[in-house]
Amino acid sequence: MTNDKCQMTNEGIIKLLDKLKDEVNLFAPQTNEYGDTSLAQVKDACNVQLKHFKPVMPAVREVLFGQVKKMLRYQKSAGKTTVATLDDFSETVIFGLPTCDLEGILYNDVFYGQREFPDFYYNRAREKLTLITIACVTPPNKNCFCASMGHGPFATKGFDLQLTDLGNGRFMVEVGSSKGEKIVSLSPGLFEPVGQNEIAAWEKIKQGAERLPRKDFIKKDQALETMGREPLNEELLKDISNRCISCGACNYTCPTCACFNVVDLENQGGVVRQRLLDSCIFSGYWRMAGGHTPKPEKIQRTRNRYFCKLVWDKEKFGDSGCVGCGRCLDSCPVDIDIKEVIRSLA
Amino acid sequence: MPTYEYKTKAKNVIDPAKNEYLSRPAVITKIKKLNSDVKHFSFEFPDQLPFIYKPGQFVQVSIFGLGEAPISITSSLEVGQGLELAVRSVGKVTKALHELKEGDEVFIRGPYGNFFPYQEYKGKDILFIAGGIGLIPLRSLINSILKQRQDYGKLWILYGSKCPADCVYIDELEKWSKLDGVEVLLTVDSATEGWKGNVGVVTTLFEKIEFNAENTIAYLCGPPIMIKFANVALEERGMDPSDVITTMEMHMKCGIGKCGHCALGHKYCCTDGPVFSFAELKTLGAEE
Repeated sequence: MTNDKCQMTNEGIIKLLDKLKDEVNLFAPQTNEYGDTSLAQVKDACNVQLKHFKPVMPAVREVLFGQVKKMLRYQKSAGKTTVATLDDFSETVIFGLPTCDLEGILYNDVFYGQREFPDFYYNRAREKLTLITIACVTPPNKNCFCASMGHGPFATKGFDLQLTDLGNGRFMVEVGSSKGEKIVSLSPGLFEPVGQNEIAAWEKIKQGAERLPRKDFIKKDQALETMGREPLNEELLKDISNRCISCGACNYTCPTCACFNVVDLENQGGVVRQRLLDSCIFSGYWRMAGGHTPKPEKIQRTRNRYFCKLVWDKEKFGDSGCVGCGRCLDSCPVDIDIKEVIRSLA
Repeated sequence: MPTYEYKTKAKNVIDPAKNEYLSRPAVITKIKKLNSDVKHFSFEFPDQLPFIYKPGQFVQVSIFGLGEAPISITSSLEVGQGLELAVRSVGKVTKALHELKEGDEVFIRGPYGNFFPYQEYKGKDILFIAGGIGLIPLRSLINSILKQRQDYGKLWILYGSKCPADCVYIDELEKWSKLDGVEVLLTVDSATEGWKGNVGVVTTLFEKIEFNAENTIAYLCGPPIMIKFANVALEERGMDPSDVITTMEMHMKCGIGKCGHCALGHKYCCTDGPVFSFAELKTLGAEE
């Protein structure tokens, strides 16, 4: 993989985004008139914020899948029925992706994109997706623990371009792929070469970010070692499931939760089959026709959630599915903290 | 930064350009009522493309506007049957399926899942234990094994249902019972007038047969409670859990290991199953 470096000014980035927004679907962090910041489609590049930002919904959900993905259209006319694939993907660039979201996409690249049945819709969308990440150099948010999980604050692979704020009105740009190279080569005037001084400044910022004090540091390696060999702490699971109100927010905001539901909806004289996000914490998620549900108790579903995320993902995909973004705790109304579960294993 | 990669070597990866969610039209050529809420359907594919499957696999049947349901295949290619499904009217899709007539069209994709291992058990005695509509997927296996009858030892088919009127494929059970070396034993939970067979749960039939646990393979399919007790009874008789094979029922929504609904421990019922041995199920901690 190429990992060439160059640099851009803040104004250069805005110029690049202004050009990209006309060529592709461009998503970037923007603050709306009510003061809320989210990853939204760019209409005016001047509104894009260049700070590191963790959106409430991970990009894999918001942009790559969409909360609802239309899959098939079924139409019956003059006695003849047709089923057609709805394939309407267009070139998309996400700017300002945090490292934890990049990790979520890299996980889904394997979960959806590979294995025995590569997912048609995921791969179509992914082929047309370019990722420009911004490395996290600021103190971590309240619930962030990506460094504990080894998934941040800098990405070392998987990005097309990674930007680091050098603090002097300039960003270091790392080129991680041919898609990234293409962006650089199509706007040569906006990217400037880097010298020894900039590299040294960047190294210093990177080391500084990695050394930022992080409370609640988890001994992940130790926990991963234990996972699967030792049972999860049943008392802790009982406590968690007693508190849990089964709202599903932890699943919906998790960048590596991949479960979906399929629903047929009537639409313009036909039927559109679509998939929506689903949550394994709902009892209805497991229910079969006829009413039998294999996991009627909340503790069974809680156990499934943590085993799936921490133990089985590691067995199947080489690392736990938890990237340490802290969104499950950010969004939990009853303060359930996945770190407690991981810590109980360490 | 750790790397996510698929640790299991993927077997039979489909063509990535294929949309696996897209199903094929299939026309119902024959409908037969098996009991008050189970119907047997035969299908043909107007596209004339082959449909290859093995006993134990399932398909996803679509009725657009209502959804998709996973249905196990009851026919056997070994004996020249096309695609046959037997369906209990229980949910949205299956109720609608029951309303359809011969000549009507549905959409089908698959087949999915693994299949009953049986070619490797040549020379063994075979014990089939079915409860209620659990006979539907086993019928595919029974017919496939009967096609190679000479390769196997003794065959027992134990079948239990709630009441005599609930028995499915009663004509075929009778046909099988007349074959050499095949013993068919029926039982019902509650008898009605005229019933001459056994009364009691399916495990009560175990007392009526002599089988050598060392040389027998058992295939089980039925409601969870039957599976549980039959498994205990087989273990008491000295059966090795890896020789006791069953097929699991979970909510297999996508059928291709993505949607997550059919998770059985760390496995997916749809791609790793639905056929599991009890030795596997024990490691999955799935005996709930």
